[in-house]
Amino acid sequence: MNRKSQSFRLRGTTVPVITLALSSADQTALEGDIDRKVSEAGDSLAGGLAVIDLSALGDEHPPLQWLVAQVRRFGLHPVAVIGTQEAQAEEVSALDLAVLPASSGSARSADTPVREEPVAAAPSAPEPPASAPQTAASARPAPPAASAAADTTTLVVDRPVRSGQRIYARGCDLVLLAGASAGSELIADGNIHCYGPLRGRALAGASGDHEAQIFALDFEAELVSVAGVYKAFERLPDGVRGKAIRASLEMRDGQSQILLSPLLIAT
Amino acid sequence: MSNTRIIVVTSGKGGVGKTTTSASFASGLALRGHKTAVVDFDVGLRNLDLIMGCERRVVYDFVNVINNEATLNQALIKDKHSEHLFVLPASQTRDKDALKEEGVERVLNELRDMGFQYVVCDSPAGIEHGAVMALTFADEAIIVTNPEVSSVRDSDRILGILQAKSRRAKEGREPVKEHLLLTRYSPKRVEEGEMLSHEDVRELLRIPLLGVIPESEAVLHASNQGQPAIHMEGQPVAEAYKDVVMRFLGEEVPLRFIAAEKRGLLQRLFGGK
Ligand SMILES: Nc1ncnc2c1ncn2[C@@H]1O[C@H](COP(=O)(O)OP(=O)(O)OP(=O)(O)O)[C@@H](O)[C@H]1O
Ligand SMILES: [Mg+2]
Repeated sequence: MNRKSQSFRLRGTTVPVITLALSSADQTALEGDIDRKVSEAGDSLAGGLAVIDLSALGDEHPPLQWLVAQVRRFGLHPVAVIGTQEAQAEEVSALDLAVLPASSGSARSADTPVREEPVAAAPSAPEPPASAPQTAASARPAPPAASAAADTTTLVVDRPVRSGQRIYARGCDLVLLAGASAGSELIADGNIHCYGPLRGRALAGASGDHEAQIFALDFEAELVSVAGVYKAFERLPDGVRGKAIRASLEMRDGQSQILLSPLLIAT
Repeated sequence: MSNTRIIVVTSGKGGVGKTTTSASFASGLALRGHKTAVVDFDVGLRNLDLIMGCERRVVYDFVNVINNEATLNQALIKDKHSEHLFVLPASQTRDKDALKEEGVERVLNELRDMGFQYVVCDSPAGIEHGAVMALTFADEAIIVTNPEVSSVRDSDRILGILQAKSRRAKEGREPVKEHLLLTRYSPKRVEEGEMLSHEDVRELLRIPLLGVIPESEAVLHASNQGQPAIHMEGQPVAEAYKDVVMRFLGEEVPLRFIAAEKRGLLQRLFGGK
């Protein structure tokens, strides 16, 4: 990437966040409703960030760990809880979630303060562009280093991604710690980093970032794509298969195309 | 509550040896003194009772129990080899939708209450309702795989479904424990490059290997006699299934029957890439 000499930058980003706003504490009812929604939604929400909003409920709410699991069923990545009681703060942070302040009342209104914007539904987010697989339900400009939500700029998957599964790192990088099987689909708006074998289809820069790249220690991909420019492999070239490879876009004769190069460059 | 372990034997692909494995594995657990039930989830086909040799004693089945047309006690059939083993047969006359999730859960809980230590669920092929029901309540999964690419791909697929649809996954509990079982393994064909080696398959699926069951004609003989293959004394396939049971119970047992027989010759390394 076109980085300055600095090893990192802190910058405010706009990341779309989906809110699971609970209006009932009845676990059985919730589970049934969520079952239905999950099958409707398929994996269209997969890879997105989610906030659990309990502010419409009183003291009684389902166990947070259970709620987190429900959110994960959509393929969403829970990052924060809104409207939790003081007493639960510890449980929340044990789950690695941020606590966002509750709204004054149970009803959410348009004139809620700026900090609650993550739950204010906006018809479309400024980012990612329309080519993203799913329109975002809400978005907010994150105050720098204000909450965990703002820090979540990477989606880390620590189990193998299996055939038939699809992971989408919306607005961020995707890190795969255990690799991805043939028949899986990995999509990121940012870069894709794969530490196990990369055997599925990997699509970086899915909303148009030409600078996005794919880094794989054990490259066996079926297809790679950067910003929509793709290359499919019926058979991988010998110098590439199983090697540490980086896939990026290069311009050649006025056309962008996928370039595969060794990941580890001797200095 | 007893600490029952529910184990699904699944594969995605059909005809790879799930029923053969369910029968032998459950029998092996019972031989080791564990109170075990083996449940046929392959509604409509009814295979397990034939392999277990109890088809003539089937009066009520799994679906009858789910529909409260019979009690679990009426439907469970005691195995002829072991007093610790019981078979819950499938119905031949229903379709797979007869397996309602609440019903399946209730029956599994009843087995738990009856003090079964292990409940082995023989899954139908595919990734549809019946297969999903068989894996929904699993604590552990034995992924039966043949050493060929299409079977490996389907096993991978079913591992993804296990991650998405099991109760353990949905409730955010510790994930289902995954075991790879390679069956119908022919060392000779592996050496000749016609089949994937066990190392290849393990590398592709990246889950721990529970065992390798050799291809053997004894399996067919066993099923004709209505006997689980594990009872075929002296046969490699029976020994291999016994090893699998021991490994499952936590003992360290080296892999056997993975080398082609070739006296006086150094065995070649398998499937090097
Ligand atoms: N180790 C083995 N060696 C030789 N034949 C075997 C072996 N294991 C299974 N078979 C044979 O393969 C066939 C399928 O076995 P089985 O019925 O156990 O598979 P399955 O996975 O349960 O099939 P289905 O998907 O139809 O339920 C049977 O004819 C069986 O005898
Ligand atoms: Mg079967």
